[in-house]
Amino acid sequence: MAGWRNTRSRNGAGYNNLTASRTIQLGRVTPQAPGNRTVFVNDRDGNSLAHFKGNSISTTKYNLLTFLPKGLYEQFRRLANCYFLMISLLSFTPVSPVSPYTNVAPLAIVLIVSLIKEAFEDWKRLQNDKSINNSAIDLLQDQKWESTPWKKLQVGDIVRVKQDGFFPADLLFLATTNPDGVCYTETANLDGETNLKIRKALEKTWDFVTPEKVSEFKGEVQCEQPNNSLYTFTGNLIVQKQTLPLSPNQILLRGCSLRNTQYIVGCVIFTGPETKVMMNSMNVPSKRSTLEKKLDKVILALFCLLFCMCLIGAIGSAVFVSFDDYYLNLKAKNPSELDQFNPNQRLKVFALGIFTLITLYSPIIPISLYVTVETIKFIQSSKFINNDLHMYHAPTNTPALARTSNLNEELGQVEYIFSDKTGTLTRNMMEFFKCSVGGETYGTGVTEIEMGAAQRNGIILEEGQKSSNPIRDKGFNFDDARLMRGAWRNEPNPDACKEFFRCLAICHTVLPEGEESPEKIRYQAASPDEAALVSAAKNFGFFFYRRTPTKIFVRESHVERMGQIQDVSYEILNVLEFNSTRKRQSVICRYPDGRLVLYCKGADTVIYERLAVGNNDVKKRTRDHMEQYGAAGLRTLCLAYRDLNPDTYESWNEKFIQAKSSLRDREKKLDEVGELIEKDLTLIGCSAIEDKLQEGVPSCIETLSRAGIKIWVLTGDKLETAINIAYACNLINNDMRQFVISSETDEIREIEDKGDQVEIARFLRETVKNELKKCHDEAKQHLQTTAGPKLSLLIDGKCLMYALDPSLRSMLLNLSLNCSAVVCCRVSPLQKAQVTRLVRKGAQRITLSIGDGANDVGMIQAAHVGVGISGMEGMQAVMASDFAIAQFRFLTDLLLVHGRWSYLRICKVVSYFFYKNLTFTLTQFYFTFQTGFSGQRFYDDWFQTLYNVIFTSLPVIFVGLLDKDVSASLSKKYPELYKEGIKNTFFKFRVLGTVAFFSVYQSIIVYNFVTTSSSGGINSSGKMLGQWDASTMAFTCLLITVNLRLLMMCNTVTKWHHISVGGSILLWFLFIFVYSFFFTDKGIFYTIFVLMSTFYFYLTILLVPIAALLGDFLYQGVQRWFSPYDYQIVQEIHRHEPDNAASALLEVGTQLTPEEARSFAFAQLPGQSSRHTGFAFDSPGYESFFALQQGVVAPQKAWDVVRRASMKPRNSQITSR
Amino acid sequence: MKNPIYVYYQLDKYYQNHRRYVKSRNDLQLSETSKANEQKGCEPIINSSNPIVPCGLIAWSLFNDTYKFSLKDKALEIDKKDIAWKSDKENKFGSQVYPKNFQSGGSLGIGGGKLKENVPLSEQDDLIVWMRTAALPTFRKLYGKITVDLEANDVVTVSIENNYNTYKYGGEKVLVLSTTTWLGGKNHFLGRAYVALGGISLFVAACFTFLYLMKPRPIGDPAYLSWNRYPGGGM
Repeated sequence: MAGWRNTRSRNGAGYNNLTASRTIQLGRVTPQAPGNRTVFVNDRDGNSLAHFKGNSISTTKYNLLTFLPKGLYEQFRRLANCYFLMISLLSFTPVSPVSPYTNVAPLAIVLIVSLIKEAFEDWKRLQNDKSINNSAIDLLQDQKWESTPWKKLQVGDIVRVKQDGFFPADLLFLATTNPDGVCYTETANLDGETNLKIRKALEKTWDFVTPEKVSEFKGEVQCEQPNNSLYTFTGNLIVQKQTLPLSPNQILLRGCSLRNTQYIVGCVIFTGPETKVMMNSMNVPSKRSTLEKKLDKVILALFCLLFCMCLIGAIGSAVFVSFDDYYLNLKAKNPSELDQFNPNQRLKVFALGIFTLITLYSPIIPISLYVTVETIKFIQSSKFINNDLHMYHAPTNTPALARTSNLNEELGQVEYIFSDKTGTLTRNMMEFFKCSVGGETYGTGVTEIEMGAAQRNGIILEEGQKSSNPIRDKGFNFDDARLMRGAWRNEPNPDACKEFFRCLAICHTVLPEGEESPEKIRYQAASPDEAALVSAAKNFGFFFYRRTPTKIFVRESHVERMGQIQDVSYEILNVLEFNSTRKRQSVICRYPDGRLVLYCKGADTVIYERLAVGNNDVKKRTRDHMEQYGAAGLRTLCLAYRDLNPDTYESWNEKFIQAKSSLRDREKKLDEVGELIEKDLTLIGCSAIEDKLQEGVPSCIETLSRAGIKIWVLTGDKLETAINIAYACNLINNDMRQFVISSETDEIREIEDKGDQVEIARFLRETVKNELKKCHDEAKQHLQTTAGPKLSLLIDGKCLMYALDPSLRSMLLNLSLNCSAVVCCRVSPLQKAQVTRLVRKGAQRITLSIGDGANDVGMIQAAHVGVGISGMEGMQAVMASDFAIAQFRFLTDLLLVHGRWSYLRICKVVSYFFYKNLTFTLTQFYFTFQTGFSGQRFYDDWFQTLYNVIFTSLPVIFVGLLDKDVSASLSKKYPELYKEGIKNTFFKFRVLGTVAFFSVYQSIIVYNFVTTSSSGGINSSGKMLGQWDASTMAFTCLLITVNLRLLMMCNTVTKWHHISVGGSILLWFLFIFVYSFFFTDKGIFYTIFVLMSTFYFYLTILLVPIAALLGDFLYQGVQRWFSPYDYQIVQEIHRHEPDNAASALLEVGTQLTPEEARSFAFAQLPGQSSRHTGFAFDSPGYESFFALQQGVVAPQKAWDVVRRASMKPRNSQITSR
Repeated sequence: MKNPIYVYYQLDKYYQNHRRYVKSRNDLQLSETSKANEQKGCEPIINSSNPIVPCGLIAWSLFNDTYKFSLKDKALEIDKKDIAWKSDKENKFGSQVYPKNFQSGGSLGIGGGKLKENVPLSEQDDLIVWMRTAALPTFRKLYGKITVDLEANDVVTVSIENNYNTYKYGGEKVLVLSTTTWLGGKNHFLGRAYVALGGISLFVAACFTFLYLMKPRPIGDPAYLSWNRYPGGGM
C-alpha cells in the first residue's frame, strides 16, 4: 500500500508520474517467482524433496521470544515515545534534576498499556489460528478417508470436503458428487459476495469420487508459484502422459466454502501461508486525520518552545555560576564528582544545563495525549457511532460501522463529498421499466425523474394507460399490454421480439436457485441489472429455470403458437465475460435445431461500433429511444445478436481454445479473440432499467449543502441520466448557471466518425480547453457580482480525461471549486479517484467519498474519509472504507452529529492537554530563574509524574466523550453549525495562541501568588515555610485551577464531570496525605499537615484559582457577548428546552418498535458484525480496477462455465451426425 | 508590641534553593544513629573515612550570626524554644543523633556555624530551621522570640555578632522584628490581592451592567447567527 500513499503525498508533478506510481500500487500482486511448482498428486514421498510449506498458519505478530523486542520496537516508532525514552535515559545521568522514575513511570505506564493491548490482540489471533489449524478434514490414507487436522495436510494430499465445509488449502478440484463435475462455492470470506460461484473439474478426473478409486489416481500438477492473485491460475495437469490445461475454474481457494454439493475430492496444491488467501492478507492502510497531522505541528512548536526555554535557562546558568557563592562550594576537589557548576568551564555548564533543563521541562510534551485521544476516539466510534439508532437501517438490519477510529473528527470537517450514483444516491434495486425492440418503444411507466422534470417545466404528466392487471415482480416494473402474454406476436416485428426475449433469457451469467417455478425461483446475479433482465424475460414468457455448465434451460411460451409452452435447452458454447473495458458480454449458444447464435448485450457505444452495416433506420430510432430513456433517468443496455456459420465458429473456437489454454496473458488473448467474433452484429433493441432514488436523499443533500458541504456526483451513467438524478435529488436546479462540457456534440461525433484517433484526441483537447476557458471566465464574472447565480458544472468522462491534463488541471480545479455542484458522468473508476485526489491535493480541503461498489474503491481510498454503503450487495466498497452506513441519508447523522461533536471534543481535549502541560511547565520555568538557573525542580518527583497520569487525566476523557454544544437534533436543525468545523474554527493557531496566552497568565498568577504569600510568617507561632511547603501549596493551587478550568470550557456538565473533577482534586489530597506522612527522608515530609495548620493556606487556595481563572472568565464573557459563535446563539435560542444530555449517555433515539430494537440488538452481536468485515483482502473489483489502469484486462472470473479442451471431440460428434 | 515578638533574620541573593545545595543533605543520618555513616547525596561535604554528621552543604553553611537584645540597658531574653516545626523536630532530626566531625576544617574549609557536640540534633533548633530550605533567594528565618511586650518609643539595642559572610556574594542581612495575629504573620500581599480581585470583579461587573443597559444584546437572537448576518455566504 506504500505506493498508494506515496502517490497521495506527491503533489502537482505526481500526476505526470501516475503511470509509474500505478505500478507501485500493483506491487501488491507479488511478482511471480521464477520457475514452476511441480506437485505429485497423492505421493508424499515424491513431494518431500520440494520442501513445501505445511498447512498450519500463523497470523500472530509476535511469539514469546519476539514479543518484547518487536512490540517495543513498534511502540518506539512513535516519535513521542522515543522522545520520552531519551528523556528517561537522560534522567539516569547526574545532570538530571529529577529522579529517573519521574520520566520512566509514565512512559512505562503508556508502554505497558499499549503492550497489554497488543498482547491481548495477539493472543486472540493465536487462539483463532489454533482452532483453524486443528479443524478436521478428511484425508485419503490407505484407501480410506481419515479425519485429520488441517495443519497436518501436505502438498499433494487428496482430501474430501463435505457440504458447507471450508476448503483447508488451495485445492485442485478433481471430482464431485454432482453430475457434470461441477460444484458451487461461496466466496463471502474472500470478497464478501454471497452469490454462488461454479467450479468445474476436468472431465478426465470426474470419476475419482470414491476413496478406492482416488487412491489409484496418479498425476502431476505443474503450475505457477504461489501468488496472491485471487482470480488467476495457470497450470497443467499431466495424467497418463496427457497434458491438460488448468484454469481458476479448477481451483478451490482456502477460505471459501462448499455449497449445494454433497462432497468434492481435491488435491492440495498450495498450503498454509502459500494459499492465495493468506498471501493476500495484509494490514488495511491506516489513514491519519488532518487534525492529528496538525497536532504533530503543535508538538513540534512545543519542542521549539522547550528548546528556547532550555536555551534561556542554560545561558542563565552559565552566566550565574560564580565562586562568590561560597556556600555552594563550587571548588570541587573530587575529580570523580561531576562538577556541573564549575565557573571555570562555563561552556560545560551551558551544555550540561541544556540537558538538565530538557529533563526538567519534559512534561511540556504531553506524553499521555496520544493514548488519551486514541482511547476517546475508540470509545466514540465503538460506543456512539456504531450504536446510534439514527443510523440503523431496520429493513436490512444494518447498523452503522466505524471500521477505523482514527478519523472521527475528520468527519466534522468535510467540505467536499464525492458520491457515486448507483446504489448510493439510488437504491440499486433495478427494475425493468421500458424497452425498445426493432425500433418500437414499449413500456408506459413514467419515472419519478420525468415527473420531477415535468413539474419544473410546469407540465403535469399523465401516466400512460394502465393495463387491467399489470404484472409486478421483483425487478420488473413494466407495463405494456402489447408485449405481455404473447401479445408480442401481433407486433410489427415479432421476430425481433423473440430474439430480444431470448437474448434476455440466454445472454447472462445468472444462477437460478430454489424451486423451478416462475413464482418461487430466485436468481443469483452478479449485478441486480442482470437479475432484472432475466426476470423480465421470465415475465415475457421466456422462463430461464435451470443452468448446467453446458446448457441453459428456458421454458418458452407462445413461441410456435399462442398458449403453447415448451422447454427448450440451449447449449452454451462460449461465454465472453463482461468487464469494464469490454463493457459487453456475449454468449454463443446452439439451438436444439443446430442454429449457432451469438447474443451480445452491452453499452450502446461498444455495441454500435460492432454492428453490421445497414438497417440505419432501426439504429437511429433505437438511439433516439435510448436518449429518451437516459433523460428519464433509466439505465440502458443494447442487445444484439449474430448468426454464426458453423465453419466460422469452428475456426474461431480453435483460437479461443488456444487462448484459453495459454499460460501467459490469457485474459488479454481471450479479449483479442472475443473481438474477432463480436462483430457484424444485428441490433435487436435496447432495455431500460429504473434505479430509484434512496429514501431521504434530496433532503439529506439539501441539509448537507446548507452545512457548507459541496457534493460532487461521479457516475458512470450517461450525461442525461446524471443530470436528471442531480435534479431529482436537489443538487442542481434551474436557478443555477449550468456549465456543460460534453463530448456528445455533433462536431465531436463528426470527427469521431472519421476515425482518426490522433485527430480525435487533438480536437477533443482543443474543445475541452476552449470550453473550460469560456466557463472559467464566465464563472469569474459571476463571482465578482455578489448576487450572481450559483454555479454548477457538468462534465463527462472523455472531456474530463483531457481536463485532468496537467496544463488544464488548475483551471478545472478553479472552476469546479467555485461551483456549488459538480456532476461528472461517464467516468471510470480511475477518473473518480483522480478527481478526488485533484480536490484533496489542489484545494487542501477535507474530502469524503461515498460509494457502494467495486468501482468506487479507488475514490474511497483516495479521499480523506471513505464511506461505504453496506447492507445491499458486494462488500468491496465497505472493505475499503473507513465508515460503513446503510443509507446515504445517514450521512447527515454521521457528519453533522457525530463528526461535528467528535471534532469539537477532540479540539477541546487537545487544547486542554496543551494548556495544562504548558501551565505546569511554565511555573517550573519561572522557578528556574530564582534558583540561579540551577535546574532545581519546583515540585516533588511524584507530583510531576502523577500530574499527567492521574490528577488531570480522567476529567478530560469525559470531555472527549460527553461534551456537546448542542443536541443531536439541533445539530441537524442548524446544519450551518457544521461550517465551524470546515473552517477549522476550533483548532487554529490563533485559538491555541489564546490558550497559550491564558496559560502564561495563569502560571504567573499561580507561581507568584503562592511564592509571595508563603514568604512571610505563616501562622500565629511565627514559623516560616520552606521550599517544599511552597511547592506543595503551588501544586495544590495549580491542580485546582486546571481542573476548574476544564469545567469552564465544557458545554455540557454532567455528573460525570463533577465526579471526575472533584475526584481528581480529592485524589490529590488523599495522595499527599499519605505520601507526606510516611516519607520522613523526603523534603515533602509533613508539608501538607504543616500547610493545613495555617490559615494562609486556605486563603491562598481560595484566592489563586479565582484570580487565575478570572482572565478566562472575562474572555469567555466578552467573547460570548461581542462575537458569539453560532453554536452559542443556538444554545441561547433553545436555552429553555430541557437538556436530556445528562441522562442519555448514548445519544440514541427511542422511537424504535420492540422488534426493531431487538433486531438492532442482534445486529450488535459480535457474530453479526462479520457482515461488514470478512477478510480485508483485495477485492475482485479492486484488483480489476488496478489491472484496468495497467492496461491489463480484468482477470477472468469463475463464471465461465463452457467446456474448454473437452469441447472439441463432442463438437465433431454433433457435426458428423 | 505585644509579646511574643518574633525575631527573624533575612538574607537575600542567597540561593538555598540551588540544585547543588538542596540535594546536599542526607535525611537518613539525621534521624537515626545507626545511619550515621550514610553520606549519600552530601557531596561535596563528606568525609569517607570519618563520617560527618550532619553532612552536606546545607548544614555546613549554617547561619551563625548572634543577636543580643537589650532594652534600657537591660538584656532581653531571646526564647529559642519552639522556633522549628514540630514535625521536623520529632521525625526528621533524631533525639539520639549527635553532631560528629562537624566543621572540623580539613580540606573542606570551614563554612558557617558550629554545633554543640553534646546536644542531640532534635534540640538544635537553629540547625533545624536552617535546614528547612527556603523557596526563594530572599528569605526569612525565625531566630527566636522576645517574650516581653515592647512599648512605643522603646529603644532596643541590638548587638550583633557578625559572623556570617554575606560580603562575598554581595548579599544583605536584615533583622526583622514582627508580631503575629491569630491568622499568622503580617501578610500584606494576600490582603491586597483579595481587595484587588474584589475591586476588579466589581469594576467588570459595573462595566458589563453598563454595557447591558446601553447596548443590550438580546439572548438567543437568530439574527446573530453567522449565516443570517452574512447571507451572501461569505462565511
